[in-house]
Parts: sequence; structure tokens; C-alpha cells
Amino acid sequence: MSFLSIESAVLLLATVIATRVLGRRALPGAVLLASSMFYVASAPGGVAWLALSILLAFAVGARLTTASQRISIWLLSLTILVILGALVFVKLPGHDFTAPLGISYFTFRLVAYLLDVYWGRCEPARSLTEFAAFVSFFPQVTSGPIDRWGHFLGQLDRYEYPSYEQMSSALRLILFGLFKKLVVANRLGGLVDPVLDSPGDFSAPFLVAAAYAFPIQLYADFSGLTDIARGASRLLGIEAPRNFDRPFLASSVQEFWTRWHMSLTFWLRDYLFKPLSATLRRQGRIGLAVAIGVNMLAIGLWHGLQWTFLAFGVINAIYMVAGAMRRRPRALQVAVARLGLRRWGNILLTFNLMTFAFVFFRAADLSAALEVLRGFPALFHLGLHSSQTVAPALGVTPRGVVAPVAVMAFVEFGVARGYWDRWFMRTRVGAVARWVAYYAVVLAIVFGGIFDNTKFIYARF
Amino acid sequence: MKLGPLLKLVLRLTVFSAPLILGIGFLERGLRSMPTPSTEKHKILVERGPSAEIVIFGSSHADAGLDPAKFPCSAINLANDGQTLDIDLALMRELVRGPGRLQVLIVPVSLFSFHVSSGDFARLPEKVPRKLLGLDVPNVDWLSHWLGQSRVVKATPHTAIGFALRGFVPLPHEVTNLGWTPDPVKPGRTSIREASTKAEFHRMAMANDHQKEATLALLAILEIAKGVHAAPVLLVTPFHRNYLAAWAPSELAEFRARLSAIAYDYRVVVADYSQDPRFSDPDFADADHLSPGGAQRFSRILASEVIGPLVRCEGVAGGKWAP
Repeated sequence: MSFLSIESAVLLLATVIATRVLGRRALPGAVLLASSMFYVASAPGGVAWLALSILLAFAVGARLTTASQRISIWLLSLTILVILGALVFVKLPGHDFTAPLGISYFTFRLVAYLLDVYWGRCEPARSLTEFAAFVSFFPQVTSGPIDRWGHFLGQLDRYEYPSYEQMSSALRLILFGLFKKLVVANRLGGLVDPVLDSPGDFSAPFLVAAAYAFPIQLYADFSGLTDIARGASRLLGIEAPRNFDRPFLASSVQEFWTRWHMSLTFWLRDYLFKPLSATLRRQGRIGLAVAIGVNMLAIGLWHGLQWTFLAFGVINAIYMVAGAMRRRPRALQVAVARLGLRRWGNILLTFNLMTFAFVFFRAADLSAALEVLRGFPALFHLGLHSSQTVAPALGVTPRGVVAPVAVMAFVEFGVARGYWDRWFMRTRVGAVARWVAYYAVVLAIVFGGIFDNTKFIYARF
Repeated sequence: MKLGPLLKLVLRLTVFSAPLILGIGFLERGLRSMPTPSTEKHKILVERGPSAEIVIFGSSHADAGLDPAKFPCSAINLANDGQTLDIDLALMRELVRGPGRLQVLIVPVSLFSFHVSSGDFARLPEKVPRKLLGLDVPNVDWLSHWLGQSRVVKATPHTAIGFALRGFVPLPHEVTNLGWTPDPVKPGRTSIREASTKAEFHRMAMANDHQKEATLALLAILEIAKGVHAAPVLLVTPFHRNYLAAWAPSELAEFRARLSAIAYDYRVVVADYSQDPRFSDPDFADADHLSPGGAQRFSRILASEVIGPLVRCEGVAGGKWAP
């Protein structure tokens, strides 16, 4: 069952009604039942794996607070080794084993739970139903965001049925998520997918256009999915963490990683970078560089044990270490500030740096990535690429791509700046304008959406 | 039980959705009544099929290249842009459903024909609304099965506008498909570069590799033709030399070998005019389509060299029908 399907929508609606009818105490059970149905229908082969992981983490979590320090550390280490080892095993290339759906996400949820319990940041789960509902929570199990147990449990303990306003904002999130996925991401896919799947068949302008379009496609696809997941969670009265905060407005790579896939980067910050940098504190700047480098490599390899993801991690590690070590001369800082373009120049530079890194992220292998990159000098007639003049038919036109991207950027910017609330939510005229906007988005999806592809890029991780 | 906010939401959603559902339903219902190649060809087959003595299938090569008015008997041209052999087979089945006078069946095959199936020329649907409305079309999903496989049409702004304007704007040839519409001559379209672009476009469609379906469809057409005692002709229309040069010799050899094998096994006439020296630059509209003048010449040549010996006209007064 795809997350983007009528069946999923019916399941969500049934769960919302069930929690209303049966009362709030039935929420974990209803969520667990719905999640089990979703998982069984989506990936029956991974059910046993998911169930065993939950049982193991639940049992170990309960023992961590009662066992002695020595036993606790052994128990914790062994369990994390088993859980992460399983993740590494399924990510290894070259075997026929199909990875359980959402394994990268639920594994990180389980590891965070065990570490939080061990460090005393949260209480161990008191109910297996609640814990299993948290780990397998169906709006988030396939592609995150990676929620924390303490955050989830806190919401269960103080559970309130969502108000009308919360539910309508949830539907707004879902609607805009659908727009981002079906209209923006899938349309960009018409350019990006054929070109980056076989870069050797395309000439330089196509390669460059596809390379620049891919980060935007990925953003629309993943943040669209996150919006739908957050909206679905909100309908059930559970607030999911944010995953994106206008990443393409980041003025440095460091800032980019605080705005992109935030639930993963914050997870790595809390459970890898901070402990590691604390351990390496005595090594000074070298220790910091090592901690940053390991962190960025982990981000890359979290997506899969492939050379392309390793390269993605290495490139980001270089950016981040260089950024952390940088000491820009004061004269240069002043000169740049006087130009008045520093922020926008940095935003542009960051986008270009990340586009370069994402070429490796998207490529099937390293040679394909290099083939794409060869298109850049060829575009400027540097003669490094034997470009083909043939421009095979692509399923997109520039207008059909640029217009939805502009709408997405406009809406995201407006919402983030508070214009939506100011103009549409507080006035009577705004209510009419709001409905007009909703109709416009629905019609854009119906008429402009591409419905052939309901798979999300990040669902494969 | 606390259903208050939920009921309010459901109520508002219902009010919000009602005009959308009604509007889209109305539009879809209207679009289904719009003519498509499928509906129009069905009409032609019902009206003209029983009296047709010569029937032409095939893609745009035959559509632009064969004027049925030049044939000796009553003839209809059912070729269409991007029409593949599986659609030819569907038309053939419809053609022989009732009694008829079919004597010669012309099945044009192009270099890509043995590798493609309906839908492989995904870009073609763009042309319909573009010609209908003079607009660029960002959504290529329009009429995704427009070649006659389905009458269900996906709604887009263009189809919506098209539906609103139907009756006011003439439908494009790709939809009405009434016989022979010559391709206008476009200067420069036979250049080496254009010809290689065209060949590349055809190769991309071939990459989907529907070899088995295409070959089986052709063999089924030949079997059906034999069943109704009609003489099938496998026809290759003339191509510009630059178009042929854009194909590897091995590709051309493979195509011809396949054609010869089928001709031998099924004892059918093969009329291969692909390299006919009688056709020169003015005879071509572009790299692989004949110009109006070229089509007239080719139709006359085909009528005298191939069709004439195979057919004995018994048809309607005047001996022929052509739109």
C-alpha cells in the first residue's frame, strides 16, 4: 500500500474516527492497529523484523533503569550493535534481501530511545502498545520525520483531541504536500529522471538543467511527503517534528544542514556529534574536524552503503570542516559587507555547493556523476565534453516546470513570514480568499499533477 | 465520544468539495463525448468499411504519404500519427467484423514498427491540443491513450478549454483523421542534423522494446487478411537519404531481414520504396515524410506498380471513395 493512496486515506480517516468514538485511551491501540495494517499491506516481508526490533528495544529499555551500570552499558551496547548491525546488513549492496520498509527511520527511533533511557533523558516505555505505536506510527514509519520517544510520550500523556483549527491546518498541510509531490516533484522528475538516469545520452544544457533541478525535485518530494505525514499525524492529535525550514535560503552549508532533513541531522547531532566532539575535545580543532567529518559521513551513509552516498558525505564533510575552520580576513569581510550582497551571494554559493554534492547523491554510480559534472564546463564551450546535439523528447516544458516551482516558493515564503496568517486567517475577506486559494491548489493538482509516480524518493531509504 | 469538531470539518469539506466534484464530473462526462481517433475511426469503419476495397493502415508515414484518391478502387486511409501495429490490428478486427469488399490491405511498416507499441510515442499527444488551441502544452498526460485504446480522457486546463470551445474550433487532423492530409514542406527539415534528430526520436521510442507484441500484431493482421481473402501488402514508404544515413547499416539490415522473413513465411507482397531513387529532395516534407507533391507521385506509382495487379474494382459508382 502506497502512503499516497486512497487506501491510506481511508485508514487514516478510520483511525481518526475510531479514536473519537472509542476515547483517548484507545489512541495507542487504534494507532498500532492501523500501523500494523498499513505495514502488513505495504511490506509484509518486514513485519517480523519490525516486531522483533520493537520487542527487543522494549525489553532492553525496561532493564536499563533497573540493572547495574556495568550490565546496563553492556546491554545497551549489544542491543545497539544488533539493531544498527541489522541496518548495515540490509544496506550492504549486492544481496537479494529486501530491506524492511522504513528500516532507517525506525532503527534510529529505537536507538534514540535506548540512549535516552540510558542517559536518563526519558522514562522507559511503560506499555508495549504505546511503544509499538510510536515506533511503527504509520504516517511516519516509511519516511520520517524521526520522532523521539520523549516527545511522543509527552503528547500521549497530555493528549487532547485536535480542535477544528488544528484539523483544518492538518488538511492544509496535506493539500500542500500533495501539490509539492504531484505537481512540483513529479513534473521536475520529467526533466531530472531521464537525464540523470542516463547522462551519456544528453547534451550539456540538459545535464546542467537536470543537476540544478534535482535538489528542488528532492525538496518538493521529501518535504511534500513530510507535510503529508505531519498533516496525517496532526489529524490524529500528534504533532510531528518539522523536517525542513526553507533550506535553499541557507547562507552556508552549516546552516543548510540545520534546515534540511532536520529530524535526521538533529538526531546525529544529539547522538553522534555531541558525544564524539565531547570525547575529542582535548584534540582541539582537529578533534572538532574529526567529529564533523564523521557526522557528515554518517549522513551520507545513512542513505545507503554506496560509493555515491559516501562521496556525498565526504563532500559535505569537506564543506563543513572548511566552514568551521575558516578565518576570513577582516578586510575581506568588510569589503564583502560593503557590496551589500553578502547574504544573497552566500545563499547562491550554498545552493551551488549543495547542487554539486547532490549530483553524487542522485547518480547511479560515480562515473555517472562525473558524466553529469562534465556537462558544466561543456556548457561554457570549454570543450571537455563531447556533447551530443540530439535533444531527445522530455516529458516537460520549461513553463510546466518553472510555474509550479515558483508557486511552491511563493507559498512557503508567505507561510514562513506569517503572511498567510495575517492575510488569510484573521479577516472575513481572508476566509473567501482562503477558499479561493484552496480551490486553486486542488485544481492545480487535478489538472497539473502527474499521478503516475506515487513513490517517494526518501521512502527507499 | 467527541465528534463536534470532526463533524464540522466533514461538513465544511463536503461543502468545499461539492462544486469541485460536480465540475470535474461534468467536464469528464463532456470530454468522453469529444471525438478521439478511436471514435472517428469507428465512424469511418462503420460508414465506409463495408464498401472499402483498399484499406491503408500505418503511422504518419502512410498518413502523409498515401492519397487514396489516386488508387483505382474505393480506398480509405486509416493511418495516423504514431499509429502502431497493435492499433492497426484493433482496426483490422473492427474492419472484418461485418461483410466487406476488402481486396487489398496496405500495412505500412517503418524502421521502428517492429519495436513499438501504443503509447511509445508519448510526446505525440501534445500535438492534439496544441493544434486545437494553438497553445503550448505542459501536461503530456493528455489523452494518454489517445491512439484509440481508451475513450477516457484525463482533464487538463487544455482539455477543459478544448471542451468549452468544441464546435467553435475545427478539430485537428490527428483526431478526425479523414484520409490524407499532406504534411507541409518545412525548409531545412531534411538536413543531416534534423534527420538524425528524427532518427534518434524514433530510436527512443524503440527503446521500450515491444518487439514481441508488435510482431505478433502484424502476424495477426496478416492471418485475418488471409481469412477474408484480401491481399496484404507490407509497404515501406520512401525516406530521405539523410534519414536512412542516420541509421546504422546493421539496423537497416535487421529491419529488412525481418520483413523478408515475414514475407516468405506468409507469402505477402513487400513493397520497399525506402531507397527508391525516383524520390528526391522536393518529394519530402521532412526527413521521413513525403511532401504533398511526393505523396501524389508515390500514390500513383504504388497504384500502378503494386495495387493495380492485385485488385479488380467492383466498388461504388466512380470506382473509388476518398475524402
